[in-house]
Amino acid sequence: MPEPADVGSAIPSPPEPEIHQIPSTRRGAGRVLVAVYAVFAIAATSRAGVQLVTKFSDARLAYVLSAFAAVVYVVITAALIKGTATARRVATIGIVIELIGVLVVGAFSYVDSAVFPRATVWSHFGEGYGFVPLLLPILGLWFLRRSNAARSSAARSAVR
Amino acid sequence: MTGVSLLGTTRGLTDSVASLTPVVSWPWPLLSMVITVIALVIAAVCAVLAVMKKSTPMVVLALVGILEAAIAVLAIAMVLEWGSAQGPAEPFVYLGYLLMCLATPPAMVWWARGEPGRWGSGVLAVAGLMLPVLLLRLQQVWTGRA
Repeated sequence: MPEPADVGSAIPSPPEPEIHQIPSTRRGAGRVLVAVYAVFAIAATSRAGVQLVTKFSDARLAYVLSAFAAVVYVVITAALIKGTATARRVATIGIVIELIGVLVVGAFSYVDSAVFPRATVWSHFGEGYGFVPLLLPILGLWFLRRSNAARSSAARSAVR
Repeated sequence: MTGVSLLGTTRGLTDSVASLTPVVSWPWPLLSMVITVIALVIAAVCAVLAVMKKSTPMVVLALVGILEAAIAVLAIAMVLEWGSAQGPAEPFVYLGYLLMCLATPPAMVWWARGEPGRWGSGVLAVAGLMLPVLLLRLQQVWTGRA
């Protein structure tokens, strides 16, 4: 961008360098969070794909839920990588859906195991995956909350 | 006479053992154990580094390279076995996990190098924890106990 650079010396403090100090969702702890979400997104998508193509008639509800979980993980991963204000909102909504999903499916799989024959990531609160599916949304929401707070304070100091 | 009864007992024992073990056995227990141990060492070292707010030293990255080489050897052995024997119970699921195993170390190193420091080490710790799980799934799908 040559144009702002010409005028840049005259302007006391352009907001440009401050933007880099605003914490991104793919920096810091977000780096690890994105890595874990990416793993879940890829694993869940490939697994759901195979289930839907090869044995959909076996357990329709479970496999539709698997596919839904896969979409949720993919959306959260993409939103966390993007990290814009809108993407943060999308990520937050996605993680809340993920948390509700793991709680509801987890509870139902104990109550009525016939409906969910242990075929989804969220069955038994993600027991088959070391309960990571239950921990992940909690950590995700905590991280986004902290990151949003840091972001707004950085934005405030950028305005000043 | 005792020989007959002994034979009978032995046969009964082997039958019960055979019914306990899966029909298809996992042909690479040693190599997968080596991979699991390397991955867990990487996970432990990187977790400590992340807690100590340290970046990942080259030695650990070299260890990830060794891990990838070991996975590649396993993958080649699998493909060869697949050609001669019956192969995994669910081929597509199996291929998916195999590709994930192969892609994980380089992808995670790339993602970790984007942020050298404690969180880069954290990313590699995740990779090290993930691989044994993927390997276990490979084993389950191969033997048909998925």
